[in-house]
Amino acid sequence: MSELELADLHKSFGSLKVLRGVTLSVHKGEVLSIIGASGSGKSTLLRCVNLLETPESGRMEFFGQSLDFADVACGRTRESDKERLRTKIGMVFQSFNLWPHLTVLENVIEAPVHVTGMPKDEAIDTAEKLLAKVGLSEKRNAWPSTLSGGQQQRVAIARALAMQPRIMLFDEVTSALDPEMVGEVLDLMKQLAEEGMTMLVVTHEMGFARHVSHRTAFFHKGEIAEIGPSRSVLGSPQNPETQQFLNRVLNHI
Amino acid sequence: MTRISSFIDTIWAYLPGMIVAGWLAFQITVLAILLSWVLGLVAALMKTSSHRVVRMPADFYIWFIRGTPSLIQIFIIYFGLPQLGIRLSPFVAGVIAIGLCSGAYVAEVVRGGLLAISKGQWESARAVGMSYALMMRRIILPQVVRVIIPPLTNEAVNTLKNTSLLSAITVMELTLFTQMAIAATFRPFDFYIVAALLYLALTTVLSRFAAWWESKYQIS
Ligand SMILES: Nc1ncnc2c1ncn2[C@@H]1O[C@H](COP(=O)(O)OP(=O)(O)OP(=O)(O)O)[C@@H](O)[C@H]1O
Ligand SMILES: [Mg+2]
Repeated sequence: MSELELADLHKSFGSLKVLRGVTLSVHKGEVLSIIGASGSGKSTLLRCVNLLETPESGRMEFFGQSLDFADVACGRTRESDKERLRTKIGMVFQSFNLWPHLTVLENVIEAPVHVTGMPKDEAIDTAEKLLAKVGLSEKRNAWPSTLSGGQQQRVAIARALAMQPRIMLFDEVTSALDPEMVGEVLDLMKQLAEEGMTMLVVTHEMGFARHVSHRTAFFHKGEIAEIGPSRSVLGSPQNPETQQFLNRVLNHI
Repeated sequence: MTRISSFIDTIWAYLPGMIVAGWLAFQITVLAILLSWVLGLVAALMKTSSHRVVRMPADFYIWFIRGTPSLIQIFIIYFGLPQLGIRLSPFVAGVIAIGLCSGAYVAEVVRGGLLAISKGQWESARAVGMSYALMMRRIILPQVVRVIIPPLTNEAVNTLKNTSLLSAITVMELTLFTQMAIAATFRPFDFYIVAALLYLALTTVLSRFAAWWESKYQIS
């Protein structure tokens, strides 16, 4: 069963066409990696999925709820509907974006308490379990600014999980990290994948794409140039653009 | 010697009145500051809107206030509005005029604070499903407040000093009371110095309060 389905998504910034008809479906429990050159539109695709950007046309179906982007663009989709949709889509950013005026625990309970109206003790219970899961129980009362990049990113993942999302979007979440911290974040994502979380992962980590994600999509100039099981897309790519891209990233000195 | 003792006697006679007048200036200041924060916040939020029709009234307000003398604004409210049938007491007209004036400067301060918050903060708040109002209240404004306390303090001190202009519309605040004391005693130097000291005490109280407020917000 398809958790997320995108059909013929188009998005431009002025005269710059960033998405040129993206069609994609992500199954329940599936991990899909998206790779591609800088500027090919990967972030824009994720931002369209949780409606931070509004495509000009195309359709999105998200666990049975369908959305026609021509309507969204015309303002026919109510702001509150978009907000409700976003609560079910977790997003993790390259730059963590923790809220600096709130402690680690407060960051995690903020949305459950104030967006979903969960009672505070219940939210704290859940948050403590999530912090244990990401290995940061002892940091519950710390300010985000006192944490390392890897720790901040794990808190950001816990914050997104606290909303019990149906799907998680990751946008190059290890790109801003020092090399020695990349592993702890990837391990956590791997753990989520094994627990059956549906994940859409934009990444430059070819190891993660190959060994953790079920399928990999190669994004080129706003289109999916190639998609298939990770092992075949990364191991024996059919599209010459994919081959060139992989040669560039895998054979760099 | 006699100069000093007669100075003390005269001031002593008028000091209670000066303190009452100073207290009135302080009350006007506090009310005007509250008004200016509401106006400044609304105008700043309007100015950051993506819709031109929302931005325009805020742009006009800020442009008009910053480009005209405060005294003229006060005269428009107190002497001008009655011509349109709106008659305000000197006190109310004073609070409104001073608050309107300060609000335009507060708007610029708040707008600067909003621009200082990184785009990632807005996006992460939106991404968990927060509405615009909730995001502002819980995520953005608490961070803005931290960075704008110093410039807001500056503006609060300006507001207090501006109340002196209300002597022109018969508000019996510190400046007008001092002028009347001088008219009765012919001691301008003595009274203006004492008035200055009283203003200084009031602005110091404001700054101290702001410093305490800021210290409450220190993170770790
Ligand atoms: N808000 C915006 N306004 C104008 N242009 C934008 C905007 N956001 C993205 N773009 C442009 O759209 C193109 C695709 O950007 P996008 O961030 O989606 O690429 P990306 O594949 O994520 O690249 P990277 O690997 O560098 O993150 C780029 O040329 C970028 O400059
Ligand atoms: Mg990107």
